[in-house]
Amino acid sequence: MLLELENVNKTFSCNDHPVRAVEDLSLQLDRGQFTAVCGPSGCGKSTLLLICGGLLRPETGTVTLHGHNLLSLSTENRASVRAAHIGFVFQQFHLVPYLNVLDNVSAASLGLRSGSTEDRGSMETRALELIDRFGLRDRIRHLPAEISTGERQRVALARALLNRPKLLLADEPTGNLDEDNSQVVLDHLQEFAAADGAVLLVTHDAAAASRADCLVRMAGGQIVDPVMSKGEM
Amino acid sequence: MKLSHLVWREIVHRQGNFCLMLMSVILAVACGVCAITLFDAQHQYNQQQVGVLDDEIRKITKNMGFNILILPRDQNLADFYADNFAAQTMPESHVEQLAKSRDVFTIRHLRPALVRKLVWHEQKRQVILMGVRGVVPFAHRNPKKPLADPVPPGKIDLGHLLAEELAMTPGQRVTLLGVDFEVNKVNPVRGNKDDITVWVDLAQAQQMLHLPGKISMIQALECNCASVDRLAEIEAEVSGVLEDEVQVIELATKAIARAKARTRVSAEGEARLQRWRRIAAAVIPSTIVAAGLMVGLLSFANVRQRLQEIGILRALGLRSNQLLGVLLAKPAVVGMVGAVFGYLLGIGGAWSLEATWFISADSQAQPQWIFKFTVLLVVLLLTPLLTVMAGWLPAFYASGKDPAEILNLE
Ligand SMILES: Nc1ncnc2c1ncn2[C@@H]1O[C@H](COP(=O)(O)OP(=O)(O)OP(=O)(O)O)[C@@H](O)[C@H]1O
Ligand SMILES: [Mg+2]
Repeated sequence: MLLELENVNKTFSCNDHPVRAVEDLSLQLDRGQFTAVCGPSGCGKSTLLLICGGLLRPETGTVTLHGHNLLSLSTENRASVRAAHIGFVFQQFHLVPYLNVLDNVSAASLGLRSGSTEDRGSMETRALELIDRFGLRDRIRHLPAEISTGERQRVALARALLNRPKLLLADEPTGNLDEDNSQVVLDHLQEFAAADGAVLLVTHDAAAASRADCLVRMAGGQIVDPVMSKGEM
Repeated sequence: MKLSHLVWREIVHRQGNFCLMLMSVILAVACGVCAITLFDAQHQYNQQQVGVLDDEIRKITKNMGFNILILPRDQNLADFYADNFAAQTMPESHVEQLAKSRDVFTIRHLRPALVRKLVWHEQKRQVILMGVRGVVPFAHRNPKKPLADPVPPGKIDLGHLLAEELAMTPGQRVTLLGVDFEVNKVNPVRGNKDDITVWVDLAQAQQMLHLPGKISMIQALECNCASVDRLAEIEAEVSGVLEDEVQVIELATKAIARAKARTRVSAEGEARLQRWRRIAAAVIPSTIVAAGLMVGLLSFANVRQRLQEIGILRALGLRSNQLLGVLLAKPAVVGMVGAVFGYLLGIGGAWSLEATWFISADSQAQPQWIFKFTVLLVVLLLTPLLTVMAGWLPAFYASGKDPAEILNLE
């Protein structure tokens, strides 16, 4: 199993008012699996994704990625695991405001442990490939502030894919895209899963969810329906 | 992509922050360097001024000769000033006594002389006859170059005016008080009684004047003793050796005036130097503290502004020491660039202040570029170190932050 969550609980406290974002949630994800998570706004989808990526620490439960217990790793080692194995597409994109499109995509390689010059060169080539793939060729020198929301979203996806991660966590990557670009992105996610990667996609879009192998429905921080495989949907 | 690229893009993106940091460092370095350089300039200027006066004193004393006279105790000074010579005599052995003494430091170049004003019958003229011998060296000191040459027996030296009026030239023979002499040399114009003086060998003069073994004065040159009451010092020393048989007077020569000026200039210069030292001692630490605070605060503001991207980079998997490097690179660059430009501005500022403060309008002197390699080296090494130290705390605080903590703050 590539990713395994067991009885995970996450509560935010806002003005002494606790908000249970994720409640007693267990989830498994294997290589080659493309899973979509959907549910109403505020049901805890993004929180779940952050926990899977080792960016949020749940109060209870365990998160295991590729044999590493993410919660017992030191912050530094968790960062290294993240750089090597996880690609993250944030709902808010989180691009570095002063780096142009190419540099934002390339920035993903900065956290990789062994970075010889050849690696750097090939990373640059790969970044250009991804940029081409997502139709951003003529935006290469633009800053995030100078491109559209949909374009930013594609940059975020390209960045997430750069290090050839094992697990791709994507929070609404098609939320701002038109039909054609959505298809390109979803094709890529499918292709990524087909190449033995695991995808966890959070989406509101039924069409997008339909491209996944399994669908997980969430409500109030919990998985409401048992995980459905493609045939059941 | 390299981390350095990230650093560079950020600097370009937030030029305002970078420029403010840089300006405060440049200003601080410039103030410090300027203060140090002006101190050095003052030092150079002092040495130069004292050197000029030393030179003048050397030239004057070379031409003017002796400025201390040791006279017999019973010589009436009023008569001495009126007659231009000492009528009283003292034993010639005094000069040897002084020369052998180990206690005399304030004078040098002892020269005994027997002087009389008399009428040169043969020429029908009033002259001053001066019997001299060579300078008696101090037995316990390195011999100095004598200020006056002895006159060989049988020869006579003539004052310029006298020689001119009597149309005498070296090699000519003359008779003085019945004694035959050959003109040895004619002295150049001195503008005083020397111009009507004739010099002969001391022993010969004693014989002519029937005063064997007697002299009427010892000429000497005072050392550059800085004491205000030099004369009393000299007199005390000389009396210590000759037991109150003599008195000492000082002739007001240009050399004394210059020596006084030299003492004054040197003291004033030293006082100014001390002032620069105090200024530098006050300016340097306060600019370091001020610039350090400024860089620290600006780094803090910068890091707060960058929290979002710090969270992103952490989420992308950058380790905290990589981030610390990225965050400290900026103050390091500020320190290095600031050091170079601050140094240039500092010595430039010192150069222009030098022109207005140290060089008087009538002087031909040009302000000097004062360049000290050690100052440059210290500035180049210390400035980045200090700016990195100032930026350390905010950078350390931010690089260790949990990405989730930052990214979920929205
Ligand atoms: N940092 C936070 N502090 C406090 N509460 C939070 C925080 N992050 C999320 N929450 C709360 O946790 C719950 C789940 O949030 P989450 O962002 O996971 O929802 P979501 O399912 O992704 O919603 P959406 O579809 O709108 O993106 C929400 O009620 C939200 O208000
Ligand atoms: Mg969300």
